[in-house]
Amino acid sequence: MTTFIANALIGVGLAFITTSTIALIIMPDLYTRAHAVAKSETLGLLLIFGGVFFRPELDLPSAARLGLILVFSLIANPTAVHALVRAATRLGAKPWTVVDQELADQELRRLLP
Amino acid sequence: MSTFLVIALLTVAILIAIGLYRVWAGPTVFDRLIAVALVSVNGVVVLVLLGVALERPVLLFDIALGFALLAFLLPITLGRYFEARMAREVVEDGVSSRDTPTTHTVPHGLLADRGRAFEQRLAQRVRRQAAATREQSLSRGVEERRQVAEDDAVRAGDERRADERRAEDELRAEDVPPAEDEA
Repeated sequence: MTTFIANALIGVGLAFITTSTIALIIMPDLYTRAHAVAKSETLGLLLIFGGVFFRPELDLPSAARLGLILVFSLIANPTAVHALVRAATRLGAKPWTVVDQELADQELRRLLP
Repeated sequence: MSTFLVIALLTVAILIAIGLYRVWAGPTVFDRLIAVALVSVNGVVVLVLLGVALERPVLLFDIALGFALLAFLLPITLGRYFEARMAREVVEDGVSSRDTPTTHTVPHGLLADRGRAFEQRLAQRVRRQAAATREQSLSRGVEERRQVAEDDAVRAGDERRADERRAEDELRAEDVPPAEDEA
């Protein structure tokens, strides 16, 4: 039963990590990719580590180490992505927008009296 | 070593390979660094799952902890480095640091292609709407001109009637002598 809970949690975490990686490939922009990596990846990581806690192979020292890794990753992963995106923003990275506003303005200026 | 853990390990390995594609293809430095962050997190997951699967958790969890610490330092350090390097221009061997793509690139990826197609459709729609609006305004101009002409006609009729009324008033004024002030 404990193993089943562990496997279920690990499976859900793997689903989240898979979503995050696919988003990293298909997203068009730095900000959207950072969004995928910072949130979904961290949640998947937490779920996988929480599932590993329930595995019967773990004893007390390894569980303590796993807790350390979990807390550290929970803090570190969004912080790292945030630092990267802040640096890119300060350098003037433009967010991706669907509507090309300049094109639309040109069309309107040319066509409307 | 359970079958489930083997499948999970293979899945995460495939995910690492997919993330390395973004490291290779990422148009800007920061895309590559974000992909490196994701790949290193997946590496931590691989180490943890491997520790469980090989039933030597303490050893591999220690390795995972050290790897997580180093993987946290890498993107932050490189991000700060590239921020400073791109903020002031550095010329090395005749190549400017501004020549390497940092932030300003054409968005690419599957969703970006779809976005461009959507953008073109939107521009067509805007063009069509603008043409429709102009036609409408032209026809409205014709109607307005006709309306103005009718208004002028009505006003002219009013003026004629007003002239007649003024003439009648003058006739009546001639009939009735103006009242004298008794003061």
